[in-house]
Amino acid sequence: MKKNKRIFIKSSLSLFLLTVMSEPILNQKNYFINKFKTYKKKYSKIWILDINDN
Amino acid sequence: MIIDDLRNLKEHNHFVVIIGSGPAGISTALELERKKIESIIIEAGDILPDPHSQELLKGSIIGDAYNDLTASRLRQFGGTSAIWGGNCNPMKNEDLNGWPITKFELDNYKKHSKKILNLNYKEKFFLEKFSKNLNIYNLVWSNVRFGEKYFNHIKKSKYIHLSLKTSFINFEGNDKTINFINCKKNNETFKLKSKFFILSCGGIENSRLLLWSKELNKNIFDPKLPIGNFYMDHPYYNVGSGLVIYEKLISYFQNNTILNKPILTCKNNLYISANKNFVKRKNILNSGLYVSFQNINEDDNFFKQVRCVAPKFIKNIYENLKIKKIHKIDINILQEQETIKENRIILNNIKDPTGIPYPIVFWKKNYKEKKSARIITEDLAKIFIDNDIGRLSLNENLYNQNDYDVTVGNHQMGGTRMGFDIIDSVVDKDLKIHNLDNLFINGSSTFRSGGHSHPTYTIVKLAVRLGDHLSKL
Repeated sequence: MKKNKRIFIKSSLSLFLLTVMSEPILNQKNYFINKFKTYKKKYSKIWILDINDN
Repeated sequence: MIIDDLRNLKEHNHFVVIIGSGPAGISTALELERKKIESIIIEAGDILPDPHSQELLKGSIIGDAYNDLTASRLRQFGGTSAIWGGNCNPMKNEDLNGWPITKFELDNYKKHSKKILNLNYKEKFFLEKFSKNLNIYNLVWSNVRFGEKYFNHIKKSKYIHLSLKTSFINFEGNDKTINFINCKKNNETFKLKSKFFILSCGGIENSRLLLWSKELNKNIFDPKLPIGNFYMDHPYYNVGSGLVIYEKLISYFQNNTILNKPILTCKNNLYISANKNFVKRKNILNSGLYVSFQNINEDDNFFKQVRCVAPKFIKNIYENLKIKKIHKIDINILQEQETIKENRIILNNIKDPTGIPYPIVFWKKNYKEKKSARIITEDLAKIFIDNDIGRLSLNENLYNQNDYDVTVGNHQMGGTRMGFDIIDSVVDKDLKIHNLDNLFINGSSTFRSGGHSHPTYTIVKLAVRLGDHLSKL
């Protein structure tokens, strides 16, 4: 149990450090990748109806 | 005339140096030419765009999704007009709220602006009452690509000089006066002297170059100048759809004496906006609803959907109408964006190959845009119900706090906006930078508000006005 905990802490710590250290490099690489989205998403509709429509 | 070698101009003192050859720069040069005043336009790009030059237009976005800055702008002679749609609707009185100039003052330059944009006098802009709260209007189009139309004209002109592939480097001067600019052509640096300088590089570039110049020349530019603030665009997105009975729509037009032909056929889109009082009363942003029509029949899924949600409405159509011509409509919206300080342009630490930092654009949508879209579309839905014209469905996202997808009109505005004082503006009513004697800003970056009209017609009117103003100095 103790060993597993140690491994977990070690791996989380290394993953954290890796993320922190690699952030500037990643940022630089992706610096000019701009997001571009269009309104392709289908939204649910809200009908505006007359009281006598249904 | 085209200047291939700037060395021939070294001793030449031009009356006006225009940096940038987009619609604004060319329009000012044309107006100066009309007044027989010499100007030189320097353009960083060539006649046609090239990938290397386009790379210099890179920039990063912080905030909401926004279009790629290298795809929405062109670094070439004629600027982005080479890829523009051509819409030339005027801004209305209420769109110019807070501006130091009135619509009347701008309209003095209508005649020459229309000529520059090839706007036929037959194609008039109309705006009519559609209901108590809404107006109906048309779109006016220009076919002008500034690069194509004015290259040969400028080549032959005695008064307009054009130097292509010439990059602006910086301003030099003392106290409150710019004496000359440094620019680079074929890896050689040149100084261009002049009495007046006009920065005319587009919505984002104007702010970027000014921010950089302010950093370099602390003795010339007032440190209080709020350069880069109040950036705007036109959010454009889908707000809903609906079913419309063609006959009922026509009789509504006839009953309300809306007689203009363009709106009487469903081949055209219908353009609807809120009127001045409605905008004020509801505290909303003005928006243009773009309603497009599509023929459908009873087998269409959309028709079946309406039959489910409003069976009596559909039954009524079949019992009472002789001609059952039904259209599905899609409603998109192009909106004015609220001017907020948080939407702004700043300089990045990374520089382009010419040594000028790339821009960072902060751009975020605002809840007021969503609220405005909902109120205007609901009002249209009510008119459709009251007159039995049709039924509308609105996208659910207009009613909740969730994020929603928008695209933008690529109408980069603000950043060097005009105003009365340096506290909240960069240029005065004559487009001259506050506390500087001879540097003017031209283009949509000087807009204080965006309205919901496409900006080019207003850009050209302001540019012609600037040319006229300089000719009187």
